[in-house]
Amino acid sequence: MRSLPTLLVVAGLLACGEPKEPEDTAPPVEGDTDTDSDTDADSDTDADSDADADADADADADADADSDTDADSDADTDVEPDSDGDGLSDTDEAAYGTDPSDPDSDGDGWEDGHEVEHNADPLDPADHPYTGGWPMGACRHSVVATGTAVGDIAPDFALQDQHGETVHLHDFCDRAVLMIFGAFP
Amino acid sequence: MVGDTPDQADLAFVASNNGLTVPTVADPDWATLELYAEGHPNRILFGPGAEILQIDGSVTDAVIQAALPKSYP
Repeated sequence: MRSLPTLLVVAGLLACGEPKEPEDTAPPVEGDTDTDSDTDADSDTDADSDADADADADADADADADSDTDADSDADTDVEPDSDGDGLSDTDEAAYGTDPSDPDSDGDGWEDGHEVEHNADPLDPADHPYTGGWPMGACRHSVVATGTAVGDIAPDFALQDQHGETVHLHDFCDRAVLMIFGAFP
Repeated sequence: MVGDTPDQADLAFVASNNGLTVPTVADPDWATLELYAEGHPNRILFGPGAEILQIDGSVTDAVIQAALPKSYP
């Protein structure tokens, strides 16, 4: 067992927020087995909120003459709109509660899409992807180790992180730290 | 990869693959873990000033909240 290295995750607790998951809206109408927001009495087998007399095989609420295979009611030359170009579509911006006209809704210097991609909260300026350079507490030089039992002041360590930077426990002297150990796969 | 020490690229992969936004480091031969505790606990909670608050895997959200400095939201 001793030959199995461990991973050590040092969690500065200022940055432990999780991104909000998009909420599922518009619950299906009772008796609406095709989930098209109306009841099934309309024989609407393609679930496009209208009857099937329009020969609308792609279920996009219009006829098929527009070659709209992605069923978004317009032609297929489009992509999901992203008004502010931050990598998060306007639809996802609405779900996360971010500003679709501001690429950096929380003003922390990280674009919303990048934050969501890296599990950071795009609405919390204190939470952003870690790219090294974790801020060091000014108190780090005054920490004096007293032991390794509960209640003691812990000795320091120095280990390289995923960005090649040296991480010291005492650099986090101004915050709480949760260390999580795991086996390297 | 038992017996190998993860290098920076390995650590970056693990951090990215698990959505980790915090420092992720290697601890070859358990050296750091054994510095603080015997028996290989999987979690250690430190309060401000590197005070050891808890050494085991049962660190709860309530314990973490209590450990946060008062200036934190």
